[in-house]
Amino acid sequence: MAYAKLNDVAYTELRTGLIETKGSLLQTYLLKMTRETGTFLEYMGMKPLLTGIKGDPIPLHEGKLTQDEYKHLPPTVEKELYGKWDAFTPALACHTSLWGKATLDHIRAGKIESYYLASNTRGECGLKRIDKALAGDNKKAIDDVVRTILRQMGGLPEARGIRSVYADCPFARAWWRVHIVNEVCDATGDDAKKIHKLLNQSQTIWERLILLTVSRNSVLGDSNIRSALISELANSQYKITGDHITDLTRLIGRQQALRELGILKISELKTMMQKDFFPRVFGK
Amino acid sequence: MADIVSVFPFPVLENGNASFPKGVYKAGREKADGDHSVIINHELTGAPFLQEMLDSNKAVYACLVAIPTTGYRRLLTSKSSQQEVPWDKGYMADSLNIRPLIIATEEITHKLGDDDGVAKPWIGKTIAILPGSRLARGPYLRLKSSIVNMLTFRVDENLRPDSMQVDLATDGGLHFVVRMGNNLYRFTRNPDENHKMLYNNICVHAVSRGFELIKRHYSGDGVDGDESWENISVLQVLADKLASEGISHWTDPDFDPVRAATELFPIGVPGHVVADDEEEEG
Repeated sequence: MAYAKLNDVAYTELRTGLIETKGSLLQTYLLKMTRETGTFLEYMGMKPLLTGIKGDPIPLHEGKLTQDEYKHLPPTVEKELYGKWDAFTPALACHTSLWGKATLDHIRAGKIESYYLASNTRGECGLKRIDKALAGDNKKAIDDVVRTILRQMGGLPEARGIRSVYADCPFARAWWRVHIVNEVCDATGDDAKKIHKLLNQSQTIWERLILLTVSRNSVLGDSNIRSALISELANSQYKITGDHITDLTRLIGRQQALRELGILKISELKTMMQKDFFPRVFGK
Repeated sequence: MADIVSVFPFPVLENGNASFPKGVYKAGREKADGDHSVIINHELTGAPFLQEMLDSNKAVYACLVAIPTTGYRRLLTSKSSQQEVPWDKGYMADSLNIRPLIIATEEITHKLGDDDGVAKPWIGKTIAILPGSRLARGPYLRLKSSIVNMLTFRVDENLRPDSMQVDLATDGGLHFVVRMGNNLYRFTRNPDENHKMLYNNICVHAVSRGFELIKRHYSGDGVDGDESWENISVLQVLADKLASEGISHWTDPDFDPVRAATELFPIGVPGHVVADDEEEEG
């Protein structure tokens, strides 16, 4: 099945144009348009984002989402959405244009409001952030809100690289999170709820894990190593922070520099995490 | 002058490491039947210790297949020197790297001697090797990461039949969308052998424009939290390629996109054979 995405050239141009100058007229105009769903859709409709686009419609969430739900999609919603999007492949799900289209379609269908896109990780209301930025004379504040909008509408790879897609867009994050939950459970036989709970625990943990998964010399690129680490973390009694993830991957990276850990069985990798790495990080 | 790299507790055969003075490890590539695999031919000479490890099944040939954008990394092993290396097409994104290796499959303790083909400082030393240890490393074989492979051709009915336009897109990894009028697009889909030079020259035009766009968007340091080119794997590969050819890249104020494009992919002129730029190694 080929799903319709936004026109990638037009969408790249829109993003790069919008982040070119802080506090520009383009930026303030976007904020004014994003305040209301109707004007936002008109604004996006004037851009050639759908020019030459063909493909199947992207399935949408059943009900409406509140701003808080959208910002931090509950695991049940993430699972439901993944079920609708289970035909997506990782090669498709790394596209900003796919998630931009999914977001736009949810707004068009009244499932979310456009101003949700401006809400930030601290839980500040999108509408308030927009109004505050427009009322002041702070170009950086305007730029910050514009970037938040673009990040949530599929990601802003120009500013944050490919991790922006996986970390910043709630819909993309949902797909990748459940994708990794399934991967871990297939490899280890773990309970999906337990794994999902760990990956959904904090944005910092998720972002550190995904960054180490998709970076060029990725320590967690190997799915067996990734699964063993996530499984052991989810089954441990430790209170896990983002710094623990960083420390653990540093230790794994040191071993990887000498040998290919991917040759080991998942049970051997899990034992290595438990015996060699966890005591050095959590026993500090 | 190559050194014996002391960070490894055992001799490793790789570029820049003189642990095996007469040792050579190479890996060639040939096309496989499908679109999502390749045949790798491992070739080892002048390293009796490593050959013995392979012959006694204490080591195997291996390829590390990685598609960083989608978090895909698989270690595939083979007892035979000819190895089919497949990858999951569902993970295929902007670049795919294959690193040929020889790796240990079991714990090995061995006292190195004269017959092992190692450099003098290793002789008489007892080494301990863990499973997964890389005994030999070949250079990365990169597929889909040369600039020509960053070009995506599309038909655009609004363009004149023989014209084209090149735009930057960051969707699913950095690439260039080459929009073409009908005639041009049809030609590029099926360029016959007699017109390969013309096809190549069309690509040179697109690459020139691609370099110009890279210069415009990625010549800075990624200030203000914006993405630096050094974090984008296809640009890192491209910068390495340009450096290996002695060509400056986009952060150099004197970088000339047209010159760089034509030095990397010389314009084909009748009577002069143009090399294919299918896949690059390095």
